[in-house]
Amino acid sequence: MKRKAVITAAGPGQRHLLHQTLATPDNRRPSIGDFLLELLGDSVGEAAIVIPAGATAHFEQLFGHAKIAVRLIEQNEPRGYAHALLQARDFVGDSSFIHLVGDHFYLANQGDSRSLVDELVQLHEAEKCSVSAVSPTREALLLYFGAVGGPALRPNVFHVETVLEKPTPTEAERSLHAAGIRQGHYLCFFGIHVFTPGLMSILAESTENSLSTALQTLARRERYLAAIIPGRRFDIGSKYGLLQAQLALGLRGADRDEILTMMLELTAR
Amino acid sequence: MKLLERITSPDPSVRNLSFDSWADGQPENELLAEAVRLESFRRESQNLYDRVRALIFLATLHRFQLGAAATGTALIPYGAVEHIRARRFDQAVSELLALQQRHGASPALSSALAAAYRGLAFQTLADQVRRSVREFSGNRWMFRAGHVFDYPLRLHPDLLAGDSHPVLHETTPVRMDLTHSAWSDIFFLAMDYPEGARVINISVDLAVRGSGASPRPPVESFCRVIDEPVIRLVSVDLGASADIASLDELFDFARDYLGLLKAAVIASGLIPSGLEGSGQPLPTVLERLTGRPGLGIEIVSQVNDIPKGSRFAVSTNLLACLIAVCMRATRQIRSLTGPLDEEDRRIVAARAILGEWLGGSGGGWQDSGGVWPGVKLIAAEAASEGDPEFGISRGRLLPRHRLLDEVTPEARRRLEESLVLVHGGMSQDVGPILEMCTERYLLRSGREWEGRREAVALLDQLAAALQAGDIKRLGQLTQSNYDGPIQTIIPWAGNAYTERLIAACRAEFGDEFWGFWMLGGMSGGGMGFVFDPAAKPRALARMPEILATAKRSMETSFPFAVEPVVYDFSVNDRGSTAELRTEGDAILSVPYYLLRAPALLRTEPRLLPAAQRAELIRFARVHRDQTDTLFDRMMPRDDSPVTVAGASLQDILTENGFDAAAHELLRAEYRARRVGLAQNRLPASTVIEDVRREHVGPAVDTHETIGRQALRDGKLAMVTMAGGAGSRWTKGAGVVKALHPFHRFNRHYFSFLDIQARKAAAARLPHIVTASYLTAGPILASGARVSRGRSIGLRMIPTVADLRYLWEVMPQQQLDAQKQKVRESGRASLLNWVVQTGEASDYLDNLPSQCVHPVGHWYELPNLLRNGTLKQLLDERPALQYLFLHNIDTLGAEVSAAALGQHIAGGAAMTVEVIGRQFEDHGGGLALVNGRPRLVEGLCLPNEEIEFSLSYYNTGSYWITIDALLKAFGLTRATLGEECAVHAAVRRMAHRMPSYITIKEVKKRWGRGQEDIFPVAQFERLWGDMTALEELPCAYAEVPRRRGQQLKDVSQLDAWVRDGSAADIERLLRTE
Repeated sequence: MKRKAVITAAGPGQRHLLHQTLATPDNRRPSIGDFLLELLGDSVGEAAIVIPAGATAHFEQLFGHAKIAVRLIEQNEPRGYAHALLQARDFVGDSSFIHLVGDHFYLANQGDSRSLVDELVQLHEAEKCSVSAVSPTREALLLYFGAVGGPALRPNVFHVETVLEKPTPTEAERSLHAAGIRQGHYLCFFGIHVFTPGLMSILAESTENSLSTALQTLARRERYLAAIIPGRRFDIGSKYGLLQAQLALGLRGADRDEILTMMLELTAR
Repeated sequence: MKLLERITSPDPSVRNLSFDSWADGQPENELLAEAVRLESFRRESQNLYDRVRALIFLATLHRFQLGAAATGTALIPYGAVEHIRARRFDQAVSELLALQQRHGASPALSSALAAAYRGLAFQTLADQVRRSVREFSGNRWMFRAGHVFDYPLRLHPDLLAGDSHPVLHETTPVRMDLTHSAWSDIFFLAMDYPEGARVINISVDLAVRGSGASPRPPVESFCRVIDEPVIRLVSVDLGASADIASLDELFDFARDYLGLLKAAVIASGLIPSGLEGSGQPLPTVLERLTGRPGLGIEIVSQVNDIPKGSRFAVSTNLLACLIAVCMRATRQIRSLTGPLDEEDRRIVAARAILGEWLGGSGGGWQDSGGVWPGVKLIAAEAASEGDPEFGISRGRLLPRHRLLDEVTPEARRRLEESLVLVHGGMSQDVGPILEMCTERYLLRSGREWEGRREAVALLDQLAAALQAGDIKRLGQLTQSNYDGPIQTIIPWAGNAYTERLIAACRAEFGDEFWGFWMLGGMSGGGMGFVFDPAAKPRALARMPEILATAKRSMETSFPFAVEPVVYDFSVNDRGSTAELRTEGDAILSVPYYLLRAPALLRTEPRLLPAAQRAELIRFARVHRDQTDTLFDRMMPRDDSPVTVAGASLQDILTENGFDAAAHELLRAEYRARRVGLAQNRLPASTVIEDVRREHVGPAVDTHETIGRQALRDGKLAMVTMAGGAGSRWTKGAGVVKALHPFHRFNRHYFSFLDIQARKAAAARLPHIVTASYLTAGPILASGARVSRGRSIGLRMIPTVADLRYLWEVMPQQQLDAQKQKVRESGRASLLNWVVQTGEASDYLDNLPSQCVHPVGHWYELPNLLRNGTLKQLLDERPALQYLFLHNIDTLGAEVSAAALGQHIAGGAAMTVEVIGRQFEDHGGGLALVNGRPRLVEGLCLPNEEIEFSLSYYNTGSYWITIDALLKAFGLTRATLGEECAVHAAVRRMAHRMPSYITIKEVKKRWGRGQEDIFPVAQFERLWGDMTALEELPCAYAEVPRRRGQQLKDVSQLDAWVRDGSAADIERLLRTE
């Protein structure tokens, strides 16, 4: 069964992010939007992109030639991330759905042929519950991410009990316990999730425009897991995020030495 | 059941057996065998508290039992002394035990072992508290953030909104403890005995009665963004501010009066501890915090009129208040405004503990109680799996707070209607009491342990009375808590001043006075008096007078820091809470502007940055009524303290025979470095060796007979030296130590002088008390026969060289790492003070009596000659031949027929009483100097190592043959009446005596009970140097330690009671 995916790209300043291109080692220049759809792979039949109001024409151009069906949903008012996701409620209906944030660039670990999304979908299917990909992240970066805590079910898989949005390390240390994670590191959202439709109900009921608050409710109502998946994500919305993503991508291919030499030259000057 | 079993037994009834019940009266071999078992146990035990208890057992065993029973003569190796000084206690123990193994136990070795074991015990406990604080969940990250890229906090966006930076304002009540169950909130104690660690404390708002203000939270803090890349710290109450531009400055705690604010900034995580020494630029950190370059933070503290020593834990609650405001600003607390939730209060309390540790201070775990609202029961909790303390201590570091909602508003109202809160004016260091308490707990000393159990049981009764709103019962219970357990455990928690106040209330209010309520660790500062509500208005009106009268009658003998005050108070139901002031309301408090605005107003308005101009406009709009106060602040005042001090200083100098010419000469010599600490020392070529046995004569039976006869014949008078300022006793507070009623015997307080006078009276001896400018008046008023001092010196600012010599060359006891850091930072500031004030210049910036000094006890006996006291005495008692001269604080010194007989039989002009040297005896001793036995002062020993090779220490007690002494002065009984001859003789002798430069500590009081301690240079001549005179044949007699030891420091009191000295005096007083 082909699944549905929702990508949120309606945040302030995201109008152009999906259009940004990165050079690949095989000398292509796909856009971030292309990368995201590529990441969804074969398991996804249809994707909805939540975009800012009035930006349909701008995005149609980008996804006009996509391999999968793409539906653009405008968020009529800029009421935050949770509200943006809720705009896709009709689109997902009663099914579980994959969710990706549109301001991240995802990269599987080198030599790992597994698809990041497939990995998560498999876990969702096995456990029959919402699953979020997480990545151990050092505490200095907590202010950029939502983070979860809870007991480990097995290596790399955790039962989510607590969800906090951009916690301070003080809060994180007190509330986000996860066995086996290095001191000073916390399980922060990777940006890829598979949610049950229950989340949409919670978002619809909630008065707060925070996905983390909704996820905290989800964790209370349903079984909710987090899994460390073998890859990296780059917040391309942050300062130098795109540059970092480009460097990470470039350093994986045949041009590695060339890029390193270029960087050394820049540094030496 | 021996000692080890009392630690290891699973049966509480065995574990709670007292140390003394086994150790007292055991023979030396039994004691040594048990010491060996305990030593091996403490080295192997995995349990922290078992180890600590074994260490305290060992310390006590050596200090008291073995110290008395050991018969060996081995001296303390200097290597062990150095280890103890450097806090390498374990190495010291090893070295001392090896020596004990070779030479057998000796009192000297046992004294050093006692010091090392005690040091190790407290070091182990302090290390564990520090570990627990650092490991407390929510505190750990601050020690990892070592680079600006690791810096994880961002300022709350609301603080950056708008044109004028909003002001975040936090207010916090202080806490008043109904009972602390006998200091059960000491971390060490609560972590070992959680079931006994319970406190009821109440958050209160206060106002000083008569100030016109209504009760409000006594501590406040403010935080806002400023347009400069600095951290601006302002302490409104201390009148201090600083723009911190670098991390190094921030971590320099004792550099100024802003240590508490700095500790709060660090403990709140605003600048995490991990950044210390990282070399990161502060503006970069601030840019990450605020998200914009060029911005900084201003943090302001304010205490509303509460004097220091209030026993309301003002400083801890101020620290917590500052931490809370910083944590709100950095979003570590979820709500920017309003009260805190329970989780937030707990993390603020944990951070306050961390802040206290950083600042080198420390309180109990209930002290941040003001963060919570209303009445709460605070109880320690057993450590469980997952806690950093689990497996190490039985209890957790942080207790659990439970709000006592069962105390109804009606009960609170009744409490408010009955309780009168006061500050008695004393501000004392509770530190020694807390250490005594910990030791006594670990030893389970019989009466004290029983007292602790009683105190724990009293808590439930107090809680029940409070819940029932039965305030009469409550007053009775707080009174019996003070009379019973508190003073059973630590007698010095009470004092004569408090007793006088209680007696005055009883006398004046009779049954309407329901009881006394001690607040905090000791009485004399913040205290409560519970009255019938009908009598409270009268009590409020009368208490200021009762306090003032008691203070006036005792202020020469007690270290009062402030004038007593009475408070209005109300229970605070909100705890720590915050508000955000924005736009037109974005201003701080009036006192803040009274402190800061004068400097801004002196600047041309057009030169002021726009934001500051706008802020002043806002302030002017809201607070136009402050014009007069502001005007007064800006105008110069004519009450310059220097002029006032200078005028009356001159009076004191003139009245006391100050020799200005000699002072000029000394100052010039000091400035030229011809005299100074380094110059005190004898030349290195001087041969200094230990005396031999034959130099110290033992008393024999026949001596007693001779002595008795001499006493019967009225040949002896007793001279007590009481001219000193007792610097160590009150840390330079300048009170008359002789008159300090320091201990209660048989329910009555006695001063040092009372005891010495009773001894003289018991022996039917004439008794002269020698006094100085500082002590003469009050001692005379006490009815003693006084020999007035005729010598006075003017203190000087020390030289940098001398301070460096004192701190870097002379031996010093190193402190715990953080305290040592604070101490060193304080010393750096003192060196700056010296440079700015002028090295070797006169010290004038204090009360006149604190600027002058007594010039050493050498003068006290010659003063007897100069002021005619000795002549008068001889005229009254022609048979008089001998004097027994001793220090006021040598409490064991008494007239013994055997000692007098020994002096007479020996034929010496002066016999000096000496005691076997122990670890705590510093300051020279008896030595062979170039082959001749004499006393040498520690000040003049070429190095400290020599001191520990000397077997005997000087007690400062001398038997003197009057005629031989007069002869040495070139006088006779007949020429004593010739004033000129006497003066010339004394001056001649004085010139032959060395003058030592010493550095003493002097307190300077300012503000609301604040105190600064400054080092000052003064000179002194010491009586012991008379033993160097060829023409004054001297003999030396060894006396028991209890007879010869001097009480110099309050922390010695506990040992003084434990070793039986207090009981000796009690017997003496009872016999009389």
